[in-house]
Amino acid sequence: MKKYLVLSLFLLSLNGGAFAQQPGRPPERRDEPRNEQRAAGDSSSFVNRMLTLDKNKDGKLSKAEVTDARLQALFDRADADKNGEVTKDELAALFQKEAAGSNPGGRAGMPPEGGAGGRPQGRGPGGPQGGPQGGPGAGPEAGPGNRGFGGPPQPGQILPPFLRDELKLSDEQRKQLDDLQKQVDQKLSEILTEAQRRQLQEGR
Amino acid sequence: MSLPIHPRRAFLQTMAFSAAYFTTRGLFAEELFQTPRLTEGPFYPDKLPLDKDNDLIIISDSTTPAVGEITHLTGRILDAKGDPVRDATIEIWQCDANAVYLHSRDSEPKKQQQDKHFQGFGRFTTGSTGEYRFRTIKPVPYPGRPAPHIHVKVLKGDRELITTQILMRGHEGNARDGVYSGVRDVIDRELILADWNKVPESKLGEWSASFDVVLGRTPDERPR
Ligand SMILES: [Fe+2]
Repeated sequence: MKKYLVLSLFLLSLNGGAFAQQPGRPPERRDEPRNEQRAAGDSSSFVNRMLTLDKNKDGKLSKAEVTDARLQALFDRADADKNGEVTKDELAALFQKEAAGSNPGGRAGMPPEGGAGGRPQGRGPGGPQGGPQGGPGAGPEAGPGNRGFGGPPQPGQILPPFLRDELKLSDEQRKQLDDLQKQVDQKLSEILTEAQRRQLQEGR
Repeated sequence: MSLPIHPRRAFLQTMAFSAAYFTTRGLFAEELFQTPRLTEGPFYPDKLPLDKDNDLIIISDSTTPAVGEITHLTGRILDAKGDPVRDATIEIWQCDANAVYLHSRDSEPKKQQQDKHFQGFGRFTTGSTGEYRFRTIKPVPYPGRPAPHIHVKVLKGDRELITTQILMRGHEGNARDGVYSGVRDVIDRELILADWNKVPESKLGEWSASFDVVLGRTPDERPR
């Protein structure tokens, strides 16, 4: 009985994924790439997705199996001992290294698990990232229309929502952060000209 | 096929199809990872340029090229099985070397800054090989977007198949870029990056970049 229940639930979930959203998707990839809320901390889903390339089913990936050129760099980063094969452990290790932060391509940068450096590159409000305008690193593009974990930080935003979540802030910390945000917003609007303020607003 | 479908029959077909999954999984496992969709952003041109060709460096028969480092962007449009998609239209748009988009909301306040010789938008329709080709500039950061990027939209006729962006592999701005950071999946992050490689012996310091777009299944391909 239980078995049937499990099976029909599985079928149901298959249908939900395959028909309600993306017809014909294989079960492994019901989780759409656009659904960025997908468990970022789930190493096994990453490993399993990679192992769909394991043609000879030996539980590891060889260079020959990763025929998709787009994944070469990932393969090379995962192949820690450089023996031309990537094991489950190596995949899991790569995931640990790259998944949590916004660490691009295994470059030095953020600690793997948020932490104090969890906000983008430890920049200040909005980040003086030296855009051509040299302004507070903000523009309409940073604004709306973005998905997933609240999207990219808004101009002047100290910690974007997804980082707040990732850091598991306490209520007290959230409140302090809100207060700090208010001060930043205020100061920022004092620095900017009227026209710049309007430009910013548009991005929010 | 827009025949009216008997509801019960449709249900049975659905069930039958689900069951088929178990036996054909091997087939699906061969599929390519789909290119992740990314936000279109606010600056798809509000008024398309007269010249919409795939050379964004030269507008019409102007003699002045765009400012910036020339990039030969090539790639293929593929379906989920890796087969080339013909007659697909790929559009790209990006800000000019001075970080101004071809969109009045961006270009009007930045009139002085704008590079009037950059086309800002281009279009290409694939042939049987699914290949596309653009000559454009190496993307630069934009205020609020530390990750240089090229916006991409692929259409078939009027139907939009995907909107995404190409980012530069290894660029230091990626880590603090909101769009990049918003992609939480390690594999998906890989699929939006392209390598910018120096064109050997190019006197102009040109670059080449290659980016394949892998589409998901389109409504037309829906199994019935
Ligand atoms: Fe953009």
